[in-house]
Amino acid sequence: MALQHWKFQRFSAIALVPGMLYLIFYFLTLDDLSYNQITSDISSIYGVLFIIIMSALIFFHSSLGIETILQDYVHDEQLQSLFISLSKITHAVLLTITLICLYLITGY
Amino acid sequence: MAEFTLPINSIVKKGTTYNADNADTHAKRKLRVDVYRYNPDTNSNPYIDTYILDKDKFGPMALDVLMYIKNNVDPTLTFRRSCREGICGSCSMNINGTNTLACILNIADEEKLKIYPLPHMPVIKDLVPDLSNFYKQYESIKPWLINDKKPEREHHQTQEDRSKLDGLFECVLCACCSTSCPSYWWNSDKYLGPASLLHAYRWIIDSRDDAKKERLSNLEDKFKLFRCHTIMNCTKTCPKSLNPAKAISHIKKMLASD
Repeated sequence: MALQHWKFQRFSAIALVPGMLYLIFYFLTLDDLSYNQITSDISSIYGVLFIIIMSALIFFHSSLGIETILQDYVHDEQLQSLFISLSKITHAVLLTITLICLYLITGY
Repeated sequence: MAEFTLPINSIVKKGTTYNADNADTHAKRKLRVDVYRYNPDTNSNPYIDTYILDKDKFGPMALDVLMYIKNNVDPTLTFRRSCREGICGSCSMNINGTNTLACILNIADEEKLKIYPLPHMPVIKDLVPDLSNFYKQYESIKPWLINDKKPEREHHQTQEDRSKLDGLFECVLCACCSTSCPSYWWNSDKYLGPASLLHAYRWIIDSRDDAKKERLSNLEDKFKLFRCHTIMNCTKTCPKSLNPAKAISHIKKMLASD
């Protein structure tokens, strides 16, 4: 389990690099884009897929990171399990809200 | 939970100032040394004693300063020392904010020294930390050759295999690396720490050893190994210029690729 956690944390971090670079460059060109261009970018099938994949990766990576921090600092085992479960539930809820918002914006 | 308040006895108070041989007014080259003092027998708070010394009266190493203080100024000062050449690892302590061996730290250019025991360890007295847990952790990695074959003479090893142990076997178990690691501070009861893990790697890659799999599976634990977050304090502080962080990353890679 420990090894799997470590692997997932590394792989998700590496997978996030190209996506984050693309986002940075996209935000840098935001001034030159019109409102209609941005909404059509988000609503395109590639835009929707990009947001779904990035959101899943970000929340997954964040959940693993918070779990590591809780293991580091919360020494009471019962309390630690409780906080880790709460963190996982929170991340799942946040991902669900993201996907619902995406559905409401794009209609997919 | 993490503790946000400190016990009352942890507050470090100001101690005595010793002006040895009137160094303050007479010495051409002065050295001010602040030393952490704690005596468990008196059940009082730790304190910082200050020694104003004449640098011409002792040698150039930090251990020479401590020996001079103990022999000439304050015989109650307690610290470990033995080989005075960086081999025994006894005189490890925190000097000017860095864990190091006092015997190989040149202080010829220093005007002020702050000397504390190794951080985040129970203090037995003054600069002497309790290393019992550290040694137990070292024992847990089985730091000996495991090989059921009984050769007629010695276990042979090629020069290439022997060279793999360079940068590992030199570790003198001074505990400078482990006690500089924040992960070890928070979880020293479960995380093995850089020193024990460096030694574990030393035995894992030893071509004469037959227990590589057992050694690796013993380390596959969220606390024993994976509390290392590659902070690199261990490598930065090692007085022998070794690289425990690299050894730990090699262990992780070996586990991941198995």
